[in-house]
Amino acid sequence: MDIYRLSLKNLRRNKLRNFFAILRISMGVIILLVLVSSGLGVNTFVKQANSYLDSNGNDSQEIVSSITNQINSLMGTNLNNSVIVTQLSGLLNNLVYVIDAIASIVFLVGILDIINTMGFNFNERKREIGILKTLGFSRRQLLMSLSFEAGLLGLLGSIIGVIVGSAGLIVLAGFIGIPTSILIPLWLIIGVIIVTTVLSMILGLFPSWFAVDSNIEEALASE
Amino acid sequence: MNNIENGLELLDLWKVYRNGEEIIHALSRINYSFERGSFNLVHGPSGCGKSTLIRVSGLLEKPTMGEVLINGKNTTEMSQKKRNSFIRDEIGFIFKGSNLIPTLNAIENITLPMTSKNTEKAIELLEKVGFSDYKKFPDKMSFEEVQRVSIARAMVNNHSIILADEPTGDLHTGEAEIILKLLLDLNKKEGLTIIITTNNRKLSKHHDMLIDMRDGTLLS
Repeated sequence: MDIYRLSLKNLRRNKLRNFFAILRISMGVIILLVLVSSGLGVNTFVKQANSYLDSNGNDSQEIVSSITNQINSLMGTNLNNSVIVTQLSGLLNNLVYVIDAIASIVFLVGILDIINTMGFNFNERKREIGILKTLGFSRRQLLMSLSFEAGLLGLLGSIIGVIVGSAGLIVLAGFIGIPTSILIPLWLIIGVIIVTTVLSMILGLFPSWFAVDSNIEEALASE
Repeated sequence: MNNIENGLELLDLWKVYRNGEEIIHALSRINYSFERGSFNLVHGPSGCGKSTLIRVSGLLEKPTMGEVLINGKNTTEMSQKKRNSFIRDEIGFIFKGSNLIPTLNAIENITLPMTSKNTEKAIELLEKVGFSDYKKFPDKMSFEEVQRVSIARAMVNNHSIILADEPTGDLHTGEAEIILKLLLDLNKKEGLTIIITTNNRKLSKHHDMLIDMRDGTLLS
């Protein structure tokens, strides 16, 4: 039995609290996946539109001219075709940045909850952490095992989020006729799981720090 | 002066806490040698510094001044890392109340601090303290059983010293007698240096040496 296996066993405690932490992380991951996938979809659309415009000379010029005329008459402007194409591409690219920013914020809000959950978990286990110190476990070992516990919550949350999010995106991709590999590439799935787990471990270090550095007298006196 | 005959030697030991304006002398210039393989009962009222004595002697806290020598080795200048491995190899602790990790059963609690996992040794230790329900979890154990398993864990890495801070605090007199008898047997058979704190005078018949403690000082 090593201290890391103890972290695994500790996940079975406070089941409801840990379940809700995993749920919130999963929600963050699902929203991140959906929004990043939307961004990838928009990017692909812009690239395909540009290559279509380049390869279909007169036909595409006609389409662009008709769009330009409609915009000019609607807005009362006098823009030419190239300005309109540049503006629309820029607008779509900016939209992708905004979507990615929203995705990151939602994801961070979901994952920041790990500090709260771990803070409560460790506070209830002050005496136990004190006992581990009396068994000769070093500060580093304790910090690593507690942050490993937070990482496990992040890993579970991200796996659930990726499964649910990918399932939804596969259905959506089939519905709108876009290949699944464009909306949910493998790097996105692996990246989301790694980033969530590592970030959870780093965020889990914060409450772990307080728990491990608490006074031994106080820790042993607590029930 | 280092004397390897002494299991634990405390030299000019002070521990001072500051609580706002108030200065508390938890340990006041203690000079005391606990002979290797001796059984010691430190008796004193609540607040006299017994728990501080256990924590400072067991390297869980640094003294404000003075030196702690364990089996002739001076621990004063040891790095935190060295202190931790020294605790793991030499000192077993037993405290009042629950000493066990609640998510682990008896055998897992014993193997947790082992430097290399050895289930047979863990079973052997549990048998030594008269506990046979290896898979039992702490929440299903009586106070006496918890202390039996704690005693087994305190010997797990062939520790030479056991420091017990009011180990009988939660037990009724009969159970307390049984636990003290068990510690006394281990002291005789295994040659462990055992230091127990208590505020229960009735337990004083179990001792090589009864040491009174008052206001942060050992009196005899």
